[in-house]
Amino acid sequence: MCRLLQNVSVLAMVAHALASPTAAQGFGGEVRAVVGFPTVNREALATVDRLTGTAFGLDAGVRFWRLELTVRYLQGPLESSIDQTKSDLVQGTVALQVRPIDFLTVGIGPQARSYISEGGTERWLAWEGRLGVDTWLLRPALRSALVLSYALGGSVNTGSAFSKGGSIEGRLEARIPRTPLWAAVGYRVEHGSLGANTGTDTLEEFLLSVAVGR
Amino acid sequence: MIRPRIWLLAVCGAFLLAEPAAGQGSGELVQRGIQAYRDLELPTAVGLIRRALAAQGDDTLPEPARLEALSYLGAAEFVRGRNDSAAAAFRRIVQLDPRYRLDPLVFPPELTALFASVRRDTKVVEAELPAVATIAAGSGEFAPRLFASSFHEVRVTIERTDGVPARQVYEGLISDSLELRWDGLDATGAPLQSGRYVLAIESRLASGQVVRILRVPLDIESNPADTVDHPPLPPDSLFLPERVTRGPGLEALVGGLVGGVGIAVLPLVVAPDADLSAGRIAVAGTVALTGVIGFFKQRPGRPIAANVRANELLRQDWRARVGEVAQLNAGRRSIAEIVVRAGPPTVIDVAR
Repeated sequence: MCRLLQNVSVLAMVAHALASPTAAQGFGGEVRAVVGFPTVNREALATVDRLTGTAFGLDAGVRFWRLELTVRYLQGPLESSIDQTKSDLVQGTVALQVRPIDFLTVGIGPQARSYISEGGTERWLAWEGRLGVDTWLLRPALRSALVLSYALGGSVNTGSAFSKGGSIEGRLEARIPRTPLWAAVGYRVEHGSLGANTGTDTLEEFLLSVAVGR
Repeated sequence: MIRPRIWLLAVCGAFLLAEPAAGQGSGELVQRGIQAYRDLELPTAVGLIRRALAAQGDDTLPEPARLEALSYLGAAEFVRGRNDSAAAAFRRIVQLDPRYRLDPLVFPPELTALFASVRRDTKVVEAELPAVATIAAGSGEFAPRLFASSFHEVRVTIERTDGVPARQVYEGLISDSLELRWDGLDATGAPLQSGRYVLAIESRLASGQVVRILRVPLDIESNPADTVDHPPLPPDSLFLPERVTRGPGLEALVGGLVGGVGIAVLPLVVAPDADLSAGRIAVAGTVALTGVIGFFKQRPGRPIAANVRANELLRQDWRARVGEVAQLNAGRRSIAEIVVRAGPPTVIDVAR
């Protein structure tokens, strides 16, 4: 019953957003080239490992009326601070969002993070609910965005149970004068924990990106 | 008792016999007068013609017959040696029709010479103009024609009925005839207002003395052309706000502070046990500081130069269109249609 009410309320919100005459109308989209500088803190069985590296990828979004679909993919090498072993970090996010009012987005979607090494692949998968706020700081050149995610459920392929997770991302975007390009600097933290306090995984990442379109 | 009856019959008979003479038409009297003139029965001729000229009502002589009668009256008086009476008759002819000439095949040269002398001394003008004329103000299409008895000076004005001149049409000499041109405008160059006016034609001697004024009443109806309405001021919805409202500044301040605080604090909530970098504080500070700067750059009441320029262009465009319409209307007002209706003329002979 509670799940049904949740579904109904989500559908009502979507319907309201689509029917609103003041909706950010029309079709649009953007593509963002991203360079990330991730730092991963992994704690398991009283062992703390710190991995750092650089990741590259794309962040794209399409907008139809007040409905938005965003996809992110980042990949890059990491190096352990303990034994300098190398692994690859692959991050992927898909989110379907609705914009009920101009500065607010509400969405849902999967978020995956994998560490690929010679020993195998460790994958974290979470279904997240997202809440975003983006505002103009100086029209039409500067804007900020803040996205908060909370894991509604998830899994880890190591055999341990997924306990909880969430993320926070902030971004400052500036339009590059006399171009259709936007440059952005951002900061992101993703955190996941395993059941029975057996481990945590925290990804902290500084992001630089250049976007085109809107 | 018989005698009174006889007298009564005699009186009635006399009235009956006399009636045909009294009831003769003025035209017939003129013909009998002309015949008497030819038979040199000059007193009879003068008497008959004077009786004909004096006829009134339905029996009034029409102008051609009146002119002919006056010609023979003058001739009969001239032959009788009464030159003054002849000149008076001829003067009446000239006053009636300044263009009239005695027929030299009918009248002797002495008589035509006298007539010419009278014409020369009598300063008379006749005006010929349509009963109704429609003209476009400013184009000068109303053209009354003047005919003069002899060479003299005239002044033609259009006056209001109170005598105030509205426009002087002509001042100068006239010989035989003169075609005037009036463009429908008054002295200020504006179309004459609707109303009653008089076309006053003054005949003057060489000394400047006015001897005769011919007044033709004019009923003028001035119909200005339709003008175009001025374009309305652009609606407020087309004008951009010229000063920053409270919204953008507040959005920048709140957005910046929320973003900055969120980036600084929320990671501690999301990952409470993690050893996070202090570098996020730099990002958070940048966002917050940008929001504060955005607030001051967009503080309420600050003029928006681009919008001010855009609105001024909008107003300039509107003013230009108003100017064009004003120019168009000025042109249309000056081409008003004027209807002129002329009435029967009257003459004022000024005693010398």
